[in-house]
Amino acid sequence: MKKYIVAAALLAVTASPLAAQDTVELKTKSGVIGAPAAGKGLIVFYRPGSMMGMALGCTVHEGTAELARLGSGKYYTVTAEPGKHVYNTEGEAKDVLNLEVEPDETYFVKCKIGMGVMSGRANLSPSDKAAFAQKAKGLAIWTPKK
Amino acid sequence: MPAAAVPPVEVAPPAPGYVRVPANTPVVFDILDPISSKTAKIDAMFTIRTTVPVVIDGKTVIPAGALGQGQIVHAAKARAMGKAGELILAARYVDCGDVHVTLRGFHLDRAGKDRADQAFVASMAFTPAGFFVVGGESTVMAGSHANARLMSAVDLRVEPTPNCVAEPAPAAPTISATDGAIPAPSTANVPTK
Repeated sequence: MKKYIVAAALLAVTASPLAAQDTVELKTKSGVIGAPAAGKGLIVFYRPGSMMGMALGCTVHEGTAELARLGSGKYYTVTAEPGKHVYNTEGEAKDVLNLEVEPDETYFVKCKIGMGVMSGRANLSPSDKAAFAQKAKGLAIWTPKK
Repeated sequence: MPAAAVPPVEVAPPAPGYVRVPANTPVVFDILDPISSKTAKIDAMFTIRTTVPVVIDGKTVIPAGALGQGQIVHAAKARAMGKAGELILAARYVDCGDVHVTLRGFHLDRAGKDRADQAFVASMAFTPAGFFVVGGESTVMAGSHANARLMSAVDLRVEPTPNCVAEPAPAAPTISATDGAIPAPSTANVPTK
């Protein structure tokens, strides 16, 4: 079976695309994604606009705590302590993403509603700054209901 | 009342025969074990080997060929209904003599695409602390290039020590903590099969 290799770029090669990418400002409909607080990590959960599962929310949990309920075209940022974190969505099937947060770094996690048997399945998948930047202009921040 | 001036913290210089390698000094290495989202286990370790010497003040402190370990942070098989396989990897350390040089900020190197007959990217992502693979049932091939940074400053011997001896290699690019740049990794260790 043919295998596939997936590769990514160096972070610090002066002329690399990623080095240039790191200087790109992430501007959304709601503002700019800032730097993480000193000594903390910043996690950006986002859900690109899509017709698939448009009526469904992508609810992100850490343990029993609900962090965000992302509709189509929404994002939400979470400040996290360095270390291991386990995020999940629940619905027709549970999807889990393990993340290791380092201080002063920003992470991107995409939520996508995929096909399910009875309804859509919310999937959390690792993403990156470049992928988020492509969608950023169409994204608005999710605000929790009070 | 003005706050008392805080005296500057004095950091002891490295012991004679040692060189201080600053935090965030880049380390370039190859992944020696193949990793697949289909079979990978979370927390499993994999072997890495430096490909570019780290040089401080003209002295090689971590040679090419030093071995270390990385770890699988997250692995998920591809599933039905369009869920792609995922991997998140982290670099843990490189051994230099009896010192574990701890690492952070793992990134897989695009140079892995050199093997055009094997290299395809369904979609890809990379983050400061790990490497995310998205798409199909993905595999990181043995010999893939990657890099990370020193988690904290460490004092290393200038003289070669067991398990931390420079490989006899032709003029290779070196990393200097003073310029902070990572040279383009060597492709000499790319497997051909």
